[in-house]
Amino acid sequence: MSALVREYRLPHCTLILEGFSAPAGGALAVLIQMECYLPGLEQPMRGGSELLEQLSRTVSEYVQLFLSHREPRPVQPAGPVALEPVSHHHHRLRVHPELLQDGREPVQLDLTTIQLFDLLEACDQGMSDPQTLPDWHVNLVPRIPRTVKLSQQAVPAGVGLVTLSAAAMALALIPAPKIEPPRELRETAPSVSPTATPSPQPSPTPAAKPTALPPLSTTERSRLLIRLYDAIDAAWKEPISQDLSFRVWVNAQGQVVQFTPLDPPTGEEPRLPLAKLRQSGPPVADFRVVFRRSGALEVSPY
Amino acid sequence: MMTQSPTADQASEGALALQLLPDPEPPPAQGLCPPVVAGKLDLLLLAVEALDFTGAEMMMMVVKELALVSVIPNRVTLWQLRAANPLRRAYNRRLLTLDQARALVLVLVYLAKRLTILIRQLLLADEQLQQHGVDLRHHPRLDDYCQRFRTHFRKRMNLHRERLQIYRDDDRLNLLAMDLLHQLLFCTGTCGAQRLWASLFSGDVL
Repeated sequence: MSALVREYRLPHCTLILEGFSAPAGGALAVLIQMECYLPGLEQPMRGGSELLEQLSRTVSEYVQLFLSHREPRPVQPAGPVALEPVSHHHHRLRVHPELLQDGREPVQLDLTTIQLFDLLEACDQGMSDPQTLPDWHVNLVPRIPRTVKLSQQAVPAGVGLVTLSAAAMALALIPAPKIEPPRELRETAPSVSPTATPSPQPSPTPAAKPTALPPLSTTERSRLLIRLYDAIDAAWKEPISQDLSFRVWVNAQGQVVQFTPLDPPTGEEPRLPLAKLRQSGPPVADFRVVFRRSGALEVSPY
Repeated sequence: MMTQSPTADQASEGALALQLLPDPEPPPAQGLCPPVVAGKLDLLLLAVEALDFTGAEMMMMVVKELALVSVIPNRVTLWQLRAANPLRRAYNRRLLTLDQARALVLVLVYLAKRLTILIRQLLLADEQLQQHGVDLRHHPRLDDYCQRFRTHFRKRMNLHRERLQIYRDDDRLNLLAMDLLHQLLFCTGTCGAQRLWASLFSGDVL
């Protein structure tokens, strides 16, 4: 049985363990005192095996959390040795005075991450050393947080279900729309009969307007336009005082079949030749005819 | 027999090193690691590459030196293991086996230990810059590291993912680079491999 001293020296931390060996072997088996020197401490922390154990456990847990989550989290904030983050890379170490040999006041100091690493490394070197306190060793087993994972997955699924049911209830309050045929279909359906209803409009033009005209080629349409223009132009002799425009239907020979005024009546309509030109026959095309008070005649596709 | 014994010894040495890292509790389904493990390891390896130009070439040499060839036989396998990181553009949706993840831990810790001095220098410089409120761009070596990390990260990670959108900002990516450097510091320790291994299974990749 002989006195032994183990020293673990790091740039920012020195850990000195004093004790004696077991009768059988040379390993440091019983700890008498530990000393820990850290920057910012006037006196080293001195204590017994309890301080060593608590200190190394807290530091180890803190570092494991830091490695797992890439941000520091408090460990044992109310325990005899506490470590809490001050900022992302500053860590506050607090040691209760009852663990300290000569301390009446608690130790509190802020460590940088490098200083924290050196403190951890000093402990790790001691724990890995088979010649120092064989009962004091690193025990690190990775743990898979299965329950946490399940609850994390349950939250989005639950939110989805709640939203779905809320949406279903809200939609159930809206009355289902009745399916009705479009109004035009309903109104035109009975009037398909061959006897066309006469228009009540007291205009000189016949009311039954042909709605569907046969499709015509562009050249045919231009030919009809020219013929209509020529016919009206030759027949129109009397001037008018206001512009008047008409929609005019023509037959295949370009003769006027029907017409309807597009402007309000002025009383000058009898001066125009449209009524005189009217012939019979099926309409094949329609045109816009404008009589200008200047005497100009304009004919364009309607 | 005499000629084969050294390689056999080496292989058993590698297997021994793998056994030092215990199985997680509870054992994962089918012995496969969750994707977060591959993600964390790949990001740390990316930080090593940003620290050391030769990092990428060194990896395969370290695999041979640590006798882990039975787990990572060639460069292609190594690349496939890294592409198991769910944040990668070339994410292959693989899950690492426990031994593959262990082998990557051992390689990473070996590389980090080689760079211990540099890592400490950079972190000390960062602390001093922060004390004086100076931007890290004013420290050439730190700026170099962050710049290389940003380049590697943006080239290989899928920035279209919503979670990675924030890393279009240089400052956010610099913070990540410095966080990874702090993590690498803890890998350089005596129990670096055990500590890193024990931390991989909880938390998120980012």
